[in-house]
Amino acid sequence: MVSIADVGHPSRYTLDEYVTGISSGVTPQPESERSGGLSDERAARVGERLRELQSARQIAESESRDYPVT
Amino acid sequence: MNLQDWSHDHPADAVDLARPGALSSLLDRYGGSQPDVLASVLAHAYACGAQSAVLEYRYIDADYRNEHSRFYSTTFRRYPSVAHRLHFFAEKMPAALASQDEPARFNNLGYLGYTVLRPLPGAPVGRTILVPQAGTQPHVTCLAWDEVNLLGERLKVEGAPFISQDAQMSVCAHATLWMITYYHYLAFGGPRLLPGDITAAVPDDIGRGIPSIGLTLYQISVASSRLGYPALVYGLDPPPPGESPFRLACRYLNSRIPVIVGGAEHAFVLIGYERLKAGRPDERIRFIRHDDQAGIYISVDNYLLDDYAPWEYLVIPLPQKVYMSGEDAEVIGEAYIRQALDDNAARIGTDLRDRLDGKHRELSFRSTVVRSNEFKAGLEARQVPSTLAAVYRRMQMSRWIWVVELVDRELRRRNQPCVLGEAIIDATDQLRDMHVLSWRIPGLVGQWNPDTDTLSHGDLDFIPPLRSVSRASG
Repeated sequence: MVSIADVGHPSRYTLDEYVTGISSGVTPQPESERSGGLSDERAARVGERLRELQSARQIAESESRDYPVT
Repeated sequence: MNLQDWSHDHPADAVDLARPGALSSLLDRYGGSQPDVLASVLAHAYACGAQSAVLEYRYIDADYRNEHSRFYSTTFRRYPSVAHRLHFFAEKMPAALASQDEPARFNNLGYLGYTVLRPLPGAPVGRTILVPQAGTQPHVTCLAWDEVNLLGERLKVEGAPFISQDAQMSVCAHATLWMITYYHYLAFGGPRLLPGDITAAVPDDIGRGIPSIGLTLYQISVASSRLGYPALVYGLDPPPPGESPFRLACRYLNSRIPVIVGGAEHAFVLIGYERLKAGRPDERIRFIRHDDQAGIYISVDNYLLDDYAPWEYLVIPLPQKVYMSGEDAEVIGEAYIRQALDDNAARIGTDLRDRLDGKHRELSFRSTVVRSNEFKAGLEARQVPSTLAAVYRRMQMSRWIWVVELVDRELRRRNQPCVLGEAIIDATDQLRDMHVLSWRIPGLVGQWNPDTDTLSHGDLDFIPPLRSVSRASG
């Protein structure tokens, strides 16, 4: 049995000897090889669309303030 | 109401609902001056096949006791501090129930749910959960399990919570907030909030708090935030550009999140929907709602012709950690899936891209916000192949994620697995630096690591269309 007194410092053991890696299942790759981000043109279109939707929500928030329900 | 009639010298009565006159006798005793909602509840129980009921007396209901404490104990007119509770069963009560030598047993009698009966002649229907009718059940997306204890026996029911307003301490706005917070309590482990908590959360700078004559949408929105459910507000006249009331509401209903509608100066709660004539030019949506002034599981076949038309606003109380709206997530998810299809066209072909942009609209996007742990735990039940499930289960994700799915509309119409790809988005992410945590298209899955701002990819074998994460069928 290992007692706490047996554990020296610095340790004689390294954790690496006792672990097994669990892979994420995917491989990091340079972006140049296979893209995963948005093109500049597409990102711009998306940004514009998001601003349009956000503006509509702001208007709705403002206009609904006095809408009564009973 | 005669106060003496509210107390009984025995704990409960069994009611044979199959006997003529049973419905009328319940309405006569409990309907008070506003019997319509109770009539709706009883009619629904009958429609679900209720054969018997148990009236539980001297029931201390947390919600009514709270209303009594905050308001009804302060009036000159006296009100009992205890409620009654009516439990419905699909089977007849066994003769052994009358025995004084045996504990009462109700298991295996087909428990259908309960309604709390308040001693308020103007508002008798309190906390209520009944199962939906069998034909409606697949389309009610906002269902949660509740458990009761009846004479020592535990009974469970899955339904959408309901309560009616009393027009004193609560009006329709309070009732809708109560339904939503009690639902979130049961479905997602939110706090158990009582009517007094809801009343206290309403800003009182406009009008009198109690008795309430009504709230504004602003007050609903602020109260919802104070209760822990920040709300999004959508105008429907007109809806946001490129959106429709269906699309806006269904994203949240797909996610099992109820939606408040404001129309004709009334508020009610949408709890599900059904596609009618799916795939045909005259396809439309039938919504299912709880209306605190009318009753439970009410179908709205055409919202344009509804009693509360025109619907003017949608208010969506969301869990705290859902920062991103459904339509924003869908814009981002769609963009990433399209980008992945474009970038990998040489490898996987252009079939999906062509179908996506074809004039027949064969493909569409469907967005659902789910808890990531439930998403991961549900992969095998959705028969996601192990190679993809392995990747998703090992991914580190935010507590809530938006899943934007690329859907084959014809397969969806036939209620078959229909998801061809998806993007997973952190629901706490910001719009000025758009990313998806992951995307999948045929043959390929990609990931973005927010800690290192790096991309990773994995190859996939052929994956057939998958079942959607959405709660909605079809």
